[in-house]
Amino acid sequence: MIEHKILFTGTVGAGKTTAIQAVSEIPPVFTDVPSSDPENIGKEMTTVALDYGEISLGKAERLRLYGTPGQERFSFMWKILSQGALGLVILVDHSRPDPVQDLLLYLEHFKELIRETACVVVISKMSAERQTPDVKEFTHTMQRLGMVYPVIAADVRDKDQVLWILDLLLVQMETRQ
Amino acid sequence: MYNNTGSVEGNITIRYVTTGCSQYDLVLLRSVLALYGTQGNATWDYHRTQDVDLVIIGSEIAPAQIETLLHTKIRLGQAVLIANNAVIASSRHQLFLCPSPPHARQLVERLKEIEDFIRQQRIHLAIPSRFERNEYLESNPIKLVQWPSPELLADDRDFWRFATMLSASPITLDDAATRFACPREKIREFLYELHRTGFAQPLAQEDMPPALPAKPENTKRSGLKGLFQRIRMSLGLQTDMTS
Repeated sequence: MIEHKILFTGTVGAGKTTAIQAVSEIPPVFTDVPSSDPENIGKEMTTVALDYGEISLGKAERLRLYGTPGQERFSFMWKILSQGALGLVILVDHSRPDPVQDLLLYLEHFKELIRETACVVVISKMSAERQTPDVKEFTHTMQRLGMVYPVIAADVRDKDQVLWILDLLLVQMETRQ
Repeated sequence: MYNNTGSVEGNITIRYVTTGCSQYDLVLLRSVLALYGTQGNATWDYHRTQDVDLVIIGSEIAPAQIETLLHTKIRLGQAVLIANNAVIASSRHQLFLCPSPPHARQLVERLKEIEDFIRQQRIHLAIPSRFERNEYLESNPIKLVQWPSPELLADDRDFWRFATMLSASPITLDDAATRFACPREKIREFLYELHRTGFAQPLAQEDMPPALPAKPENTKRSGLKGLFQRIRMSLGLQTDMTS
């Protein structure tokens, strides 16, 4: 069996599990436990190892979709999951207190994977009530780090929007090959 | 600065096209331009193509048609003089409005504003004119320096894909047109806007990597290409992004 993988990372509750669920051909495998972590405000369950979904590419080939656990204390898992990934989707929960700082954390932890492969930044849970930081602020922050990647506000409960995110990730991979 | 017809300092040449203008509009416009052009201001050249600095829309065109023109024919950020009583607004173009039928004094005021606007645009770009810019942008790889604003991307998926391509690697217009399933003119217009608004810049000669011999189509590269196609097909995504 030939296997490839795309990684979804981001803050707790940003929608990694939901995004994988939206496009996976199999019922996704979750490693969620009841949350007792103060980071997980408003979330009953949280992922402690990984989320997993897959897409069949033929009889003997599949694309695996991995979601990392969100909390930084599980960051040792991030490196393991990064190995051999084709690209990375970073989900940033806009409703959290400092989403720009959250983004910086993931850009730093995954900088090697990002440099070598492809990356799309997804701002989730944007609401009309909270206008700031807007998408431009995220792109400015990335520019200051010399990073230019697609930044898209999306609702990952919508399969079409998740497919669009994967489309952009593929465009980068295709351009870089 | 540049010293040719598109110079920023001193006299500049502004190319314009007209559409939907009545005979009265045209006679007045040309008379005013003839007079205006002798006063040390810009030189105004009429052209038949859309590749101009200014589009002048006259009174013989319906408001709905103006909206259509703005959305389909007129590039983002382009100066548009509307001598028409239609109520038009656009955040994507620089509109200059004049009542119909226009009075000479009002027309002169708008022309001054337009000249200032175009002069500022060229100073901002530090390159002379749209026409020289064409050549410059078309012959140099373009690098994305910041992800474009949502306003510029305008929910147009072609723009998103093209910007994503640029974010992955500097690319020339020719390369983009070859690899991208989208009309070349549309890519070019978007490229101008990326450049004009500072989100993209041409690579300076000294920043360009030395020319390398063409890469053979090795197994890994062709394997990846096939893999990406299979992923696209499995996900039901557009497969004609690349050649």
